[in-house]
Amino acid sequence: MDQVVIETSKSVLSWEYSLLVFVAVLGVIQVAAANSGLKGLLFSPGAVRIRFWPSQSRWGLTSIHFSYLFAAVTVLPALGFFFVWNSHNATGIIQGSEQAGLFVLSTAAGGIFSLFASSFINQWRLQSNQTRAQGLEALKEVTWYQAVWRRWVRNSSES
Amino acid sequence: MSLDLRLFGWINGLGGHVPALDRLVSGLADDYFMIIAMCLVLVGMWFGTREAAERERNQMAVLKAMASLGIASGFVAWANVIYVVDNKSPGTSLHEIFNRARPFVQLGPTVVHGFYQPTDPSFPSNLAAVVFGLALAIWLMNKKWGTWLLGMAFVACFARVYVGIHYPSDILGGFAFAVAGVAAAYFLFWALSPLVKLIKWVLKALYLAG
Repeated sequence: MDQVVIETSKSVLSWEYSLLVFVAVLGVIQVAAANSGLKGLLFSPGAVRIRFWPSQSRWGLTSIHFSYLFAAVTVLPALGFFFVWNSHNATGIIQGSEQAGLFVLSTAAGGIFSLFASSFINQWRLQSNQTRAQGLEALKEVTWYQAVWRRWVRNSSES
Repeated sequence: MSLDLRLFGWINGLGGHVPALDRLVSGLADDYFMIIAMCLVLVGMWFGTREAAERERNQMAVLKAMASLGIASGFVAWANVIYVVDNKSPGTSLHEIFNRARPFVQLGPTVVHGFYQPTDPSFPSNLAAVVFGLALAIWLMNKKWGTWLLGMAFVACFARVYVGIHYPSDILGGFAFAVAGVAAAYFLFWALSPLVKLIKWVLKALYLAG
């Protein structure tokens, strides 16, 4: 019976750990993409302008602002949870090797989610853009999906 | 009294006076917090540079850091399996060192400030091996980010002594494993450079790097 309880709590901890890393990675990728100008990787569809009635002044939220805001609500709470992890879970139940595996998987999941979500969000905004750049550099002009599709699917079907 | 014990007494003696400070330092000493924060810096380095050439250099540093982190941690686990789990060479000084009890076993539970009491041996500090392995590998290729990461590694290791779960010599032991891990990782990248180039090419072709 005790064994069942231990296994359950371990699996809950692993899920909690993975989810927190996943969320934190999403935020870090947004900040990094905003800093490096990788527009195709951003979750923000562009600048948003808000007018506060009855005032005439407008308040703008650029893609970079949005990315920092997004990071603030993802990275900081996730790191906060890790900061108090040991006091909430009195023993380090997730072993080092397991932790490494979970981190890699969660980071990969966060990266893949970012690529697909940003490709969907930006598909119309960056549709007419062209680039000859290779690798991540191409994401300054187009989305990841557009870059992959144009290089590997369209080129192969044309040839 | 040995220098190690005196240094431990000085650092650990800073704790236990201000509960808020103990709480802060125990968070910094957390098994997960600093490692994850440092790994998130690596994720940021992968994507976050405007110049493509510099980004590619950073990505290579990140790959080397991941390798050295894994190798350093593997070295520690290997040593633990030999001397602790399999209990090889009993009576030798190496066996004694790798089976050294935590400070609170020798000095009493009052040395622990706001942290749980781990049950595994004290030497070497696995956290020190991992965080220094990561930070040193980056520092060799990017001094700016490497210096920040080394600072984070130092803070985490200082916090582990402060909360009373490691001696300073455990941290030094972890650091030695880290240096070995970094050397092994850099050697592997040099020896397997065609494979590394192929991996870089594949990642770039899939628009995941470069």
